[in-house]
Amino acid sequence: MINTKRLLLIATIMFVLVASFLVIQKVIRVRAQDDLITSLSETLTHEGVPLLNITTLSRSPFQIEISIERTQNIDEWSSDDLWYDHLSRREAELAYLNGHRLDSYTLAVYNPQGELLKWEQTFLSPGAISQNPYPYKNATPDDKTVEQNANDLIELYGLSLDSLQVKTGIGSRVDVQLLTIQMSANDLSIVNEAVPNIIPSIRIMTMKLNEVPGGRIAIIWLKIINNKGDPLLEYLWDLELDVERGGTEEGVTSWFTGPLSEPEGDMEPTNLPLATVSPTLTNQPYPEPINPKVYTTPQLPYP
Amino acid sequence: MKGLRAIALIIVMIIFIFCTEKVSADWRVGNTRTNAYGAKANIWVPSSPIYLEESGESNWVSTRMPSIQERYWMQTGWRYYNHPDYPSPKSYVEYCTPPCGPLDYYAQNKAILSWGDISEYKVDHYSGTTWCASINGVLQNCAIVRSAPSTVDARSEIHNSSNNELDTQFSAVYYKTSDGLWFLFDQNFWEEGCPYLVEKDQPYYFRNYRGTCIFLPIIASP
Repeated sequence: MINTKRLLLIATIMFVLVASFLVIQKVIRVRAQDDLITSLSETLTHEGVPLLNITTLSRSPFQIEISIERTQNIDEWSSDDLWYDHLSRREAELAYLNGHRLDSYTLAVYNPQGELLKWEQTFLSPGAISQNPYPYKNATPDDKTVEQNANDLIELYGLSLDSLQVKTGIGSRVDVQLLTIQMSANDLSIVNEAVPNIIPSIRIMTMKLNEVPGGRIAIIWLKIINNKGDPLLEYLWDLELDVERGGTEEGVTSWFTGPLSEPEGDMEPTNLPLATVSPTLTNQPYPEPINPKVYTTPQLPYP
Repeated sequence: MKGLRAIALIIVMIIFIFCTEKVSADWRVGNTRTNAYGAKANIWVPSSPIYLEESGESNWVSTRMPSIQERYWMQTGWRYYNHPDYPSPKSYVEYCTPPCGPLDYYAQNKAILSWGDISEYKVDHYSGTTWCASINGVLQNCAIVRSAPSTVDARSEIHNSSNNELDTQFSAVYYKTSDGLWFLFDQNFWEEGCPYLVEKDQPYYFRNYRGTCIFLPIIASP
């Protein structure tokens, strides 16, 4: 009888201890998640991002939605909008490196009238490139040196160099650099001829700048405008996230090709074979299909 | 008679020169499925490093753009460039959301791959105009892209130089129906462009490679 009572008491104490531990752990996790949202809000607001709000979509997995407002309407745009959009993504994506676990983030962009313009969700996993530190060669940034080196290395392909600026400090990362370059041309044909060469050239230059002392470039941002000051192309490469953003105005050559467009009529099946061929490499065995995976469902608030 | 032979010889020589000299352009080779709600494929990275003379190549599954004017799409696969940032191939997701203007292009490398890796890449319609991209069954990105259904492609894309090497196998290439079911590619909409060719075992099972094209000029007898 005494033993049963004693056992019951021990079991109760154990249950209370385990339950308390779980509750405390959950409280700590929720607090850490809230801290992330607070710190994201503070950083983005401090950087001038027109932030509407950051909401939690799910605690486990931890998914958030960042809502920002465009400075212009849908038919208009400004360089700032690309920067605000990217900075929001960047700060969310760097959360893991800053000590927080975030499973996914959604970026919702609204126009000043409150209409949804853009909605994108990105899922993060620890193995992804963006979730691991970028292997910088240099420990200390030196803006003046990098600016000088960039002026020496840059290739213009017929465009004029309007400005080239290096600045240390991007959002929550105080020891990395943003290299901003603006170029212009009087003639659209010069721009179109330059674009396919200039983007690879800028990328190679950035890698070289990071090799020499003083270089800790995390983002390179190229803008090309016409002689009236109208923007023609935006190209932003974030080395830490390994992401390229931007695009071109209508009539300006893209640096990316994209897939084909839908056929205008019915497609005609092709006959086999199409050509007489002789392989240059020895045939390898075809792989077996990978085992079916369990697909997780995205948390999409919109139809 | 001698004059005709000489002309024929010149034509053959011109064709030979055009066929063997390096050509600068882009090529997209592989197969296509119309009227689909998604595409997925196991795409092989070659077992050893490939030679790239200029630029690079990507191997992907993709939606199409609705039209030349409406340049919205989503694509995922692996890519490799002749660039210091690509010591080895990388998996990626790329898309452009409407209106695909200066703020709308997105391309992110997701992981560094090894030679010989095989991964499953998928783009599929979620709802409305939202499409998602997954790699090895793990969701990467979802975005408002375009309406469904779409023509979908499983292709290799080679940039700038016809001397760039290509040796990519696509296996278990599926398309998704409006019911959410996956079926193997079942149409022959092959695309090839000399010197990039396709070893076509099945519409869902093929190998894209750089080969040698043999053109036989037709010479009319006098």
